[in-house]
Amino acid sequence: MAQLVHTVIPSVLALSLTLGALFGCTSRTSGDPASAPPEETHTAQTEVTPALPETPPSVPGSADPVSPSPDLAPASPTPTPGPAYPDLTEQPEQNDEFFADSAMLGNSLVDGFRLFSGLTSCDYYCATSMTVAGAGDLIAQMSQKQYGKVYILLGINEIGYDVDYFIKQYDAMLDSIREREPEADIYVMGLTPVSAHKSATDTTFTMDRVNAYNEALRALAGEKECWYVDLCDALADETGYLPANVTTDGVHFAAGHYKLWLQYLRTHYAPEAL
Amino acid sequence: MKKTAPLLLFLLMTCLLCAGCGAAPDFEPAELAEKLEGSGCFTDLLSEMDQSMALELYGLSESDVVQCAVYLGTGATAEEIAVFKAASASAAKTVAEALTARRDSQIAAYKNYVPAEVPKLESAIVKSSGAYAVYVTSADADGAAKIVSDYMK
Repeated sequence: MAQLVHTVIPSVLALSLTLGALFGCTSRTSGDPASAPPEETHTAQTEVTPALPETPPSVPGSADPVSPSPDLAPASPTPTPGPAYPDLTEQPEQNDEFFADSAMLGNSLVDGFRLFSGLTSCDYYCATSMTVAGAGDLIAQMSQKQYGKVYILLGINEIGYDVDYFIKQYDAMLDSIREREPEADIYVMGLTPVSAHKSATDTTFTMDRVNAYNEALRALAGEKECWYVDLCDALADETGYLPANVTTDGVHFAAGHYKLWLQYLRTHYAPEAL
Repeated sequence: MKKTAPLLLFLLMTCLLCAGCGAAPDFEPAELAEKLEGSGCFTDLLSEMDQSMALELYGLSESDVVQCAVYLGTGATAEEIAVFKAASASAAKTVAEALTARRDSQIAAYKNYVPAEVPKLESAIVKSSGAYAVYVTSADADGAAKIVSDYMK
């Protein structure tokens, strides 16, 4: 028996080696259609990848032992943030054509802008002594046309009112405009600065009141997804007041200052407005 | 000889009378406007307006106006200077009507806005002579009127 083992087994081994040499156990070579498929295509996946413990077990026979399971849902894309109402940052300067789809709504200062800024490409809806409460007819006229942008300056004629009362009226006006101009970017323009002399000698037209109104307007603009245009930033001097040499009553100003206002609008607009 | 002298006298008197009437005005609107603007008759800062905007402000057409010079106040007052050279004497009357309408519109606007400006508007100069029409609202109506009369009889 022992002699049989020692004789048969070596013979079988020799036969196997011979057959192996004749038919080859070669690794796959590039471009060789007769090559055996890659070993990994037939490797059974039996373990969960440690880096993703929540990943379900792979299906046996899946292609790559380290690739995610094809049953996993792709990760949700990061949501794009919406516009950062209400504050505007400085943008590249725009020309008059940018304002061709714009309406300017407001009081005597908007009328001054119409007469002296040099901007004729937009439509104006304005009148001396105009207030939020009295703007209904102007808004109705404006609504005959759909605009891409609506700029509003109202408030200096109401600066003696309680701020909350004023904001309540302004809030309702914005709703009315939004309903009639659903596609428009709305720009709430803040009150313009007054002169130092006016602020010091008057009990109503003071920078404290201008600032209080403007803080409330800015907050309202944010709530209502409108933009806020800081006209004090545009028109005040380094002391924070309307310069004395451009005004006689401390509130209204001469032609050159309207050009500064226009220049500010050219560079402060909604980022997605272009 | 006795008949000739009275005739000559008559002709001389007629010529003198015609000279006293004055020729039709003929001046650059800017000249009168600048003289008014620098006269001290105004309390507001006056800014010059370009012609196309002025035509729009007063509702006038280019065909009626050859040239104009317009200055507006800041809005704190109703002070204003508007001097027009029209295309004809007839066009000057059209311009004068537009200037009268402007004055009336300003009275309505300032009545509740800055009532102190209404007396200035009520004593505003609205005048036409030949092909010229002028509108001036100032703090010194008499002073402004004298300057205007030097240009427009």
